[in-house]
Amino acid sequence: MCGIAGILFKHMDIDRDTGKALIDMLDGCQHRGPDSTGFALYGDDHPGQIKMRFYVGTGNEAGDAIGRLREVFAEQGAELVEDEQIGSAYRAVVKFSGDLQKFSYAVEHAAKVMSIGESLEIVKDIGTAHDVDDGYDIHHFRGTHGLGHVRLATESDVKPEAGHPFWATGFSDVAIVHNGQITNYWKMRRRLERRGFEFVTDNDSELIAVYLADKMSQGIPLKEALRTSIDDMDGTFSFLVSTKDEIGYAKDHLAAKPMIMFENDDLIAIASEEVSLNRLFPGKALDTREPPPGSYNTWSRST
Amino acid sequence: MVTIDLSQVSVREGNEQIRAAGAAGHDIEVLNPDARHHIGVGLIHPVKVTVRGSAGYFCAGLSDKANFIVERNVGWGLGDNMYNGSVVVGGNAGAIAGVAIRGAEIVVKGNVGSRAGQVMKKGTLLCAGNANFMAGYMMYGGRIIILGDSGERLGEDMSGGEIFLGGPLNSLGSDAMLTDTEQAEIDDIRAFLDRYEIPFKGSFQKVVNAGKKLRYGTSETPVRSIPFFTFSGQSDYWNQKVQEDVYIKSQIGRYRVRGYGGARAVPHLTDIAFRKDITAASIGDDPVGDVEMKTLIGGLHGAKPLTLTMPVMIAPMSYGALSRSAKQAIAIASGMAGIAENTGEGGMSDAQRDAAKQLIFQMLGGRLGWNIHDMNRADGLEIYISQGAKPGFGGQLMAKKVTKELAEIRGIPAGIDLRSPSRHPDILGADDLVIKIEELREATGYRLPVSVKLGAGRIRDDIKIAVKDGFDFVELDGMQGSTGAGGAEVMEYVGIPTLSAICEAERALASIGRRQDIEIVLMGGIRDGVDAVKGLALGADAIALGTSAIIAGGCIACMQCHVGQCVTGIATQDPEHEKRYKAKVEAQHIYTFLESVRWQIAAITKALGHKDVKQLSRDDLVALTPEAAEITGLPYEPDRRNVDLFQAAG
Amino acid sequence: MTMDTARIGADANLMPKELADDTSDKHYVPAPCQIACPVGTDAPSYIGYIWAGKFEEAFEAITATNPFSSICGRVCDAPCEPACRREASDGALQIRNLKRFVMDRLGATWTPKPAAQSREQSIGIVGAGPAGLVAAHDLAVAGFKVDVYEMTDKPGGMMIWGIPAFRLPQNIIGEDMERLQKRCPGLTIHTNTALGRDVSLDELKRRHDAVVLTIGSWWGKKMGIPGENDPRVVDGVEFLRRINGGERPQMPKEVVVIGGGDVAMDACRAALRLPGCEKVKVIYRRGPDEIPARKIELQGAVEEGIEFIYNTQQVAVIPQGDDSLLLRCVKTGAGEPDADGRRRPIVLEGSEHDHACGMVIAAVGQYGANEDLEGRGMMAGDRVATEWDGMRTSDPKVFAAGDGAFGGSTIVMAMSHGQRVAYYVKAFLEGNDKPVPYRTPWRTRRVPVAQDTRWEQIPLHHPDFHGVGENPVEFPEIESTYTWDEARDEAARCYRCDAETGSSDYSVQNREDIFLMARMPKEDVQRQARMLAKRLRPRENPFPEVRPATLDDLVFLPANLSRLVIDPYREACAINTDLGMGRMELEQPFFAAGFDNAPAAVKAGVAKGLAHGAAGYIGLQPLGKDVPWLQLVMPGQIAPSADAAGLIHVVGPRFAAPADARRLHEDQLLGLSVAHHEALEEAIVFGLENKFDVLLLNGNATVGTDWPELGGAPDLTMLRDAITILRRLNREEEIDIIWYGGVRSGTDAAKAIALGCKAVVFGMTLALAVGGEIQNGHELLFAPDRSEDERAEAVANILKAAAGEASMMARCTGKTNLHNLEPEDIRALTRATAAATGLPLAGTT
Repeated sequence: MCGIAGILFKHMDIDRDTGKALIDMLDGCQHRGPDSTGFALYGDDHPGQIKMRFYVGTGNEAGDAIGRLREVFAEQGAELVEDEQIGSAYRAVVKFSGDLQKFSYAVEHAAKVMSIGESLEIVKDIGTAHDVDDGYDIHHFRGTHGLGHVRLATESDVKPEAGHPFWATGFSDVAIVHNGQITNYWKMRRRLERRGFEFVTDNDSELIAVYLADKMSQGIPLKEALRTSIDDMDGTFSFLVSTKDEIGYAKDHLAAKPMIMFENDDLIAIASEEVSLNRLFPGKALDTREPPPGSYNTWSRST
Repeated sequence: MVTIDLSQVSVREGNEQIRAAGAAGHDIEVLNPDARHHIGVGLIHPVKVTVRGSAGYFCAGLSDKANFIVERNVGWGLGDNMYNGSVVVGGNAGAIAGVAIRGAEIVVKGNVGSRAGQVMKKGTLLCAGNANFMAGYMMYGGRIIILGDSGERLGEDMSGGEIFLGGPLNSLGSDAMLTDTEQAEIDDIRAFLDRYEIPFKGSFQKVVNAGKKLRYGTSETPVRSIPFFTFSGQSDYWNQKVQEDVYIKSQIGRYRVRGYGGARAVPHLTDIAFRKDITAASIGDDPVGDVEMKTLIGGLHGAKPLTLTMPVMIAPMSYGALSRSAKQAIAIASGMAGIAENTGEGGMSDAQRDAAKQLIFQMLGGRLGWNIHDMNRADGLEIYISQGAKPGFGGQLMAKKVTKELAEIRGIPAGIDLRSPSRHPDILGADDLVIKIEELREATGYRLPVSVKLGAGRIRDDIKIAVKDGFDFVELDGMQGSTGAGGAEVMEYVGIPTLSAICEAERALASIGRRQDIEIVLMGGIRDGVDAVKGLALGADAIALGTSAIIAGGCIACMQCHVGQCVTGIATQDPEHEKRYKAKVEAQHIYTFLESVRWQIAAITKALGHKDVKQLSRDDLVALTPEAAEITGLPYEPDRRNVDLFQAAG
Repeated sequence: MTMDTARIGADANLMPKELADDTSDKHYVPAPCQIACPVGTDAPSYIGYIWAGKFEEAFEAITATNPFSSICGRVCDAPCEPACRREASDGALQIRNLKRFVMDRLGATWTPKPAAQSREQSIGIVGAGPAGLVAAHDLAVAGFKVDVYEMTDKPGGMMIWGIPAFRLPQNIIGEDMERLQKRCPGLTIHTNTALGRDVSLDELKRRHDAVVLTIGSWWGKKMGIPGENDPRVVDGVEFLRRINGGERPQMPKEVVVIGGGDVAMDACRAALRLPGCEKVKVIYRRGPDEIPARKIELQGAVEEGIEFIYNTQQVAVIPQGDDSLLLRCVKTGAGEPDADGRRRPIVLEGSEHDHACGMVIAAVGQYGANEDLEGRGMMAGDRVATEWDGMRTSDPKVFAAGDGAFGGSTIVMAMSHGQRVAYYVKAFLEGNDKPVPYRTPWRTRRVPVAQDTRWEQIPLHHPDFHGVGENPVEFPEIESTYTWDEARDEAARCYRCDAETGSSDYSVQNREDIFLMARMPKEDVQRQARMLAKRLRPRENPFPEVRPATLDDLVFLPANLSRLVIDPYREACAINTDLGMGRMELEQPFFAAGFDNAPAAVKAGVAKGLAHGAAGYIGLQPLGKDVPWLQLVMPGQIAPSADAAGLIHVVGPRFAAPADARRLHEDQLLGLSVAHHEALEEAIVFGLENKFDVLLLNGNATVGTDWPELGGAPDLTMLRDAITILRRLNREEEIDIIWYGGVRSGTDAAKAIALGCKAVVFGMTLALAVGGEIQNGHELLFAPDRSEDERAEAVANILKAAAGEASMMARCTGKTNLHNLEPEDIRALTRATAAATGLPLAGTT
């Protein structure tokens, strides 16, 4: 129940205005979701280091959570490189080389994880794109690609951690924004749970993220995972997924949920509404495309 | 020429200025549209509107007679429901361009998005570029001209109308076929293209409905309902009713269709009771005079609320399912009783408008009978998402009832088994719904309450969406609600009881602390003032009566509404049968019934010790059955069943 | 009593228990026609029987409360008809003519079972009119000895003396009388025995334990105008008496009849048929809307050529010299309403005029008289002084009823008085001095409604009308009896207001209350209060503890706003099904079972239908070569077959591993059939360990019988427990579950699938589809009258319908694949079902 946006600059140029582009796109479709806004941003990465973002709240509650997290880092053999508290979020960079899935479940039990990855950072909070930017300084974020999401909190309360994007719990650098509903959610979730995955929310977006990440961890390319997702997931959906190097979308066979894209030599931008794309090119009439039913595609920043 | 700069004023102010300029006969120029939604909606004057840039959703929607020019692109729902007039778009249009138009000329010089012309009835939609998938989806009439690529599944499930394709055909939709063109048609298209200065010299292929899905294949032998049947328990699992069902389905090869509501007993308001005794002494001589019952509904967001003399409304029922006379009788009675009537799906008639003092106008996915002029003369607008009797289904009207006149009002071909779309073209989630609500409000100047009709299912989630989306009130319809025609299995086995619906809705809204932000009108199997008071005490702000009002007005509950030969003249469009219905006499009966409901509501409210119906609460109730106790969370007091209520009245 | 108060009174809860109706329906409300009938005739039932061709049953229903049914079939004023709800639509049911149809078929030949005299007490009844004879009948049937004293030479009272033969032939009266005598051996009718002349009241009181006076209103009232003593002025009752006694007097050319009641109607029509009469006028003092004559009699008279002069009142009879009379009249207008609500006629000044004629028949009312009673002070004016409440006179041993007690009325009203007085006399004789107030018993039957598809359209059809006929003086009957076709069409028109249509919320009781609420003035606080009292009563709990868990009490949660519905009318929903990881692929998730022992012709039809409908068969033997067969392998019986698409090893209550549980070829499915909880866990573990493909769960545990589903609702906990075990083992979906038990529709199939199954078995449902009939609740016989193709088509159709229904449920919940249904898509409606399925109640989480 929301507006989604994604952008990927095709050339390996880490220094693009990804944050600002996403703010503009989300501001354009803020009417689709005034409750909360979120960003999945892919920036610089350092081999052997992982960035983590947590929701910790504020005040004593935050202090307790950060304390717990530092303990878990130590227990799990993660060496803290840097950390900071930003708004109700806590950001930490650690050196870690163990089993990421196990590590992520362990930290999840200490505090709400928003993202874990070498380059991925997820920022989400209550309010509009500009509100979140004010709190987290998104517009200065530079990187190659990212996703954004504005949320109309319909089924649960307005809570920062319930916002999008969703990180694929347990998998590095996989994020998703999704508009629609997966109607065989429990069936799919139980299948994944039987394979040992834990879910931290009842949100179907998390399910898609874990589903795709699981496929990729089995060596299946993202594009193929998107293809099977269309048959395996039921309901009506349009979603965007991002990994460290790629961005992709999938759309169900009914193609009821809006999605529109613009592509040129430099970038691919996808959003719920054309108005978001227009924001990237003020005053220009764009040759946009609406993806057909049951379609999927990926773009990689390396090509 | 009036110039409106949307970088200076909000869309709401801009639209007010556009309408004012239109009324004064001035042409209009809109600057800095910035792809904003709803530009020009609700304009009903023959003026020219030039949009300097791109427009967002529903540009020129719900308009009549005006001529729009948009220099660049437009978003979803271009020209939504336009009657006459035109829109010329210089660039591309998003999905569902020309949705539900009823006479307009819509010209898109670039490409159109998916499902162009969905449920259109009349007029022309021209796409000079390429169309995306499912152009002409469920169209009922009119003409689509595509000069470029057809996109996939052209003419998917179209019921009527014509599609002319100048470019390559990608694929045909279900129940669409190619047919020969006639020279006159081609000449007419050429003239149209010339008029809009579009150079195209190619030839055309023509796509029309193939006619395979317009009627049910095998018609079901109408049988009169089996009396006294019981649902399966231990010994009668394969009862007569099951046998009949199997027998008939083994002949027709599909689900059965019938009228009325769910047949079997489900947990109901009657399974709860009042905590206090209702005695003649506690009622007094004039309960109606002693209890405040006036109820305002729909004013939470600034619209003019419906003013009800008691917390009661008439449930939505269509002219179509019901005869004109029956609708008229209900309208008259509602006016006499000082409550609100509802058009249902079937559009608004003058007689109904005049008779009903307050009238809610309902919009369904097929947009049958929907139009800006009737919106403007309505007292409330309602978006139908689903109904209790058959949630998930669009309206169903068997061919027998789709008369020429009805087809005309609804803008559809006569004589089809009308199965209305189950979804709206432009409401595909809570997010789109926000924009749709906004369009309706923009088009009518924020004067009217906007409500949603919701069949009870996943109420915990749905009600939160309703409140988040900013509806003024929700008409919450439990599975006991009736319908003119629906699949029998759906009536029995889809949806939750009215009692469950109100309790779940209250709990869900409480959980997000938003109960005060929406009003609930409860319906579905509410039969009298006793049921009504229980609904109110459980949290509803008002209740709506459908079937019981019809019964008061002569319905004999034979459950054969779908056949179209209603013996009493209520659920029929056959003039010979309708003649049997004495609208004025029955209006009086319905009115008398409503007054008796009023008396009962007042009497119980007073006997419970209240002066105002708004004081009714859960504290006034106890549950009589384990099911009701568990659903409602009320104290389980089965002994209240045996209390000899009302001894004094004898 | 107005109709709506009667309907309130009809509430079973307010009825005296002593007057129980013949029904066990808790919510029974009699139909308006039955309530309107003074003797409570169960018209809807006999109409239903007529349509069904069950004339004897119809006859029983008609005569149950009416010993004069043949007579009533001809001449009852039929208050039921104006009460008929169809009256407001396209015309009331012809209830009386339908009764006549039945009585003409059976009335002359039917021999009732005699009701033997069983009590010593006796009752003397004075007057053998409808009131007296009905009282006699009821008391005789109750076992008393009854003697009826009749002053004329024939029993029947006004039925025989008041109604001319063209409306009521003598033989029709004879039928009823004969039946009455046969029914009541303890009843003796003493003709030519008048009270006061031949026997005194004292004598009767001495002879009998109680006396009932039903003396009638035998005498015609005078007009009270000058000249009425002229011999050419006769009173209507007397005139009819002579005619009915056989006289056919020569009449003058012109006759004037005064009055607008039934006697006037019969008199004018009789006069017209007599020799010499050419012209008959009827003069009535009020307008055509107020004339009390029954509409049909009036219409008959008009059609026969009788002239009606309204708003005219006689003021004098003036004899003329030339054998003729002048009837002087004035015109009247409508004045103030009088006590009965009708406007009193007022004389218009200067409107005097004369009608010339040769005879005046005055039919302006009747009165009762008896010198013996008069002498005892028991008369009040022209009636026996009688209390309505107990039908008692001033003499404690003497009761009275009928026109002689309460004034001129109709035959059927007099009959109801007879029933009423019999009730009180019986109470008196039984020593019950405070009986529950009488009210008409409404005997009911459960009669199926007419299944005529044209019922809403068939127009009202009157029987053929003949008028005076070719030889009027013979008094031929004025109209015909319905033919069978006509009667059947007319019977089909009945709304059947008595019958539940199947709507629980809008049962007859609830509908009637709403109907009443729509007709009760808001000012009438008493009635509003009574109605409220009634509406406050809760229904009985429809889910008592004995109600089992059932698929019926599960509902799907539809997609609305939180999900998008998949358009059930248009959009696709996949239902193809694969079992055993692709070992078996079905177009739809259906199997058939149960036909192993069916007749060969039935098997052939089912096989053909299954091949067409693409479903497999589960059984001991294959059904046909085109039908994929899952062989049921019973331990130690027929060996596994390589021809079978799958082998299902049947497990007993105690799990024992199948002896030779292996595939005969790699494509063969391997399965276990479990019907008992005790074996479930071991079977599942065994199946999983041995890579079995399917688990066939039997909800009806009677293994080895063809139709175990006849045992009743399936045990849904089997499925719940199987899923629970699989989840505990973390191996859900590793073995495909097929559900067998109580699947009647695609909806049931969808529920089973949502609960965790992959496919379902249709057993009984297919049997019913191919013409199976349930006998004695536990056997199944196949109707022989169907061809193989018909059976095949029925099977294909029911499976197609089921497939459509199942996918429709899936689409409603927002799925494009049936197998994506989840338990989370369903809620239970009862606690029993919630417990048996592990699902929440609707409205809870």
